[in-house]
Amino acid sequence: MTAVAIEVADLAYSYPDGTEALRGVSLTVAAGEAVGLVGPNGAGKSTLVWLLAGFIAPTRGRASIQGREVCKANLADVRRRLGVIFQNPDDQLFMPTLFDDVAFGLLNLGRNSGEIEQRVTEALQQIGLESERDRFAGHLSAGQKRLAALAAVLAVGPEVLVLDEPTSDLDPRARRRFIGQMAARPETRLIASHDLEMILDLCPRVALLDRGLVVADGSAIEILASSSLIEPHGLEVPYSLRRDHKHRFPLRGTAHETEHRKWET
Amino acid sequence: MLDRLGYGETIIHRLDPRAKTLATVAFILTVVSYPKYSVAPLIPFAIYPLIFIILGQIPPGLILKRTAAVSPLAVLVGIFNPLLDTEPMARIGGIEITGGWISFISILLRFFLTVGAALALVATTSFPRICQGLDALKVPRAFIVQMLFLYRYLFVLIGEAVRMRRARDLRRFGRRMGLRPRVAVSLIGVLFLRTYERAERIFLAMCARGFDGHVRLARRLRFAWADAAFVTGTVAACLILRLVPVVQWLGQWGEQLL
Repeated sequence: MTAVAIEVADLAYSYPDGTEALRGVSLTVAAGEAVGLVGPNGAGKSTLVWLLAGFIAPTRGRASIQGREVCKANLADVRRRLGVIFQNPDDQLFMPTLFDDVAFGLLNLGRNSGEIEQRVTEALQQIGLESERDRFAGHLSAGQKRLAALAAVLAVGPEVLVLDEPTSDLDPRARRRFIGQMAARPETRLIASHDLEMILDLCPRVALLDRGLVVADGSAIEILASSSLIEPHGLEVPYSLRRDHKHRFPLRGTAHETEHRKWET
Repeated sequence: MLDRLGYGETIIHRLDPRAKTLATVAFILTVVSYPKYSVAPLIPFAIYPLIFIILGQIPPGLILKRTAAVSPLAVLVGIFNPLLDTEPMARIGGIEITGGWISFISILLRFFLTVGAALALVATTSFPRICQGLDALKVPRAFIVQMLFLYRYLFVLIGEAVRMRRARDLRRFGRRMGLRPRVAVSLIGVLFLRTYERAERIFLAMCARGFDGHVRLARRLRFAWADAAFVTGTVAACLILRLVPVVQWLGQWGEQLL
């Protein structure tokens, strides 16, 4: 039997102004699985991320991470197992140097200085930022900040990663690098994003969220290739999944267009 | 800039933050303990910030500029002394110097020495290390946490203010706009809201990585013999300068030589 890493049952949340962000979401993610959470703006993706991290408490239902219910009594235990990557890495990098930022979680776990040094160094090596360890994290580039936020979370060794719009501010090269890093991770991953190409690269499965409800859950390719399914929910079939799509090549000084089918369902 | 200098690797940077903090506190207390008409006895104290600036490889102009930036406060404190205290106290080259002018100069001198020393400390010790040192010196933790948050959120506030200013400038279309009270109030309100929201997200990010209100920093402090020697030397020098009329002796010795 496959172990369950994230379990969400009938989860509902209303903001103080009465807005219903989630209206009974149920979702199960197996250990080691990578699931994309897609949906239009205001679908409730970020609210779900916040509920999983225990930043807010649900008005109904329950969420659990590796069998531990996300509630006040279990919060420390849940956060040891769960790594959250925020939408804006500037929110996540608050210490004066990159080293201090990556070491922050380990220090709070009471690890000794030798282990901290080793794990921080390893985490920075993994993301290729070891040479920047003594720089003020606020002065890194957007791509470096994103990777630094990832290193800060990975250094603690979480078993479950929840990422909120992880590629929103990355240039193509930084985005590709980030995807490469994430693809190699063994942890369970729940990735909330509008970047459907990235979701296709990383997640074999997606859950489509709209108006606080899961409206589809299944194979990423099948759901995202179905325009009749996703377009009513504010999404568009990603370019790489369109049956007929155009490629433009600068050929002999004129634009050359060709059509082909990338894959068939 | 000052903050970045704190991460240097000079002999002064390597000193334990407790040693530097204790020595600087002793220095400041000694400087402010002088009577209000003291000027000459304060001059040798300039050596302390100079040692930090030279050995810590800090651009002296930076310390001077930062000190000068806050000097209006000291000027305001002492500016009325020449008007209130008109008793003649010295004569230099035929010009009579009143007690008010001497006390004003003394205030300025003390201000430059103490603020200069404090800035030199910050420029050779990163702020988190100072906080770590204060923690080790048993300063109440609540106070240290407040200082660290203030430090981090200061950057948040500045960042938000810069972004708002850019947005305003982009839609100014070259027109010079004074900051009218109504606009200023709404800008401050929006700045507060944006900063508050961002500060909350930062706090949540800290909580997500196990923050429980306790400050923990990676590098452990080590109080070595060099640190003890630095504190002892500074405190001894301050006491000697304060209790022994060194400047007066030097003056008399100079007169005899001449």
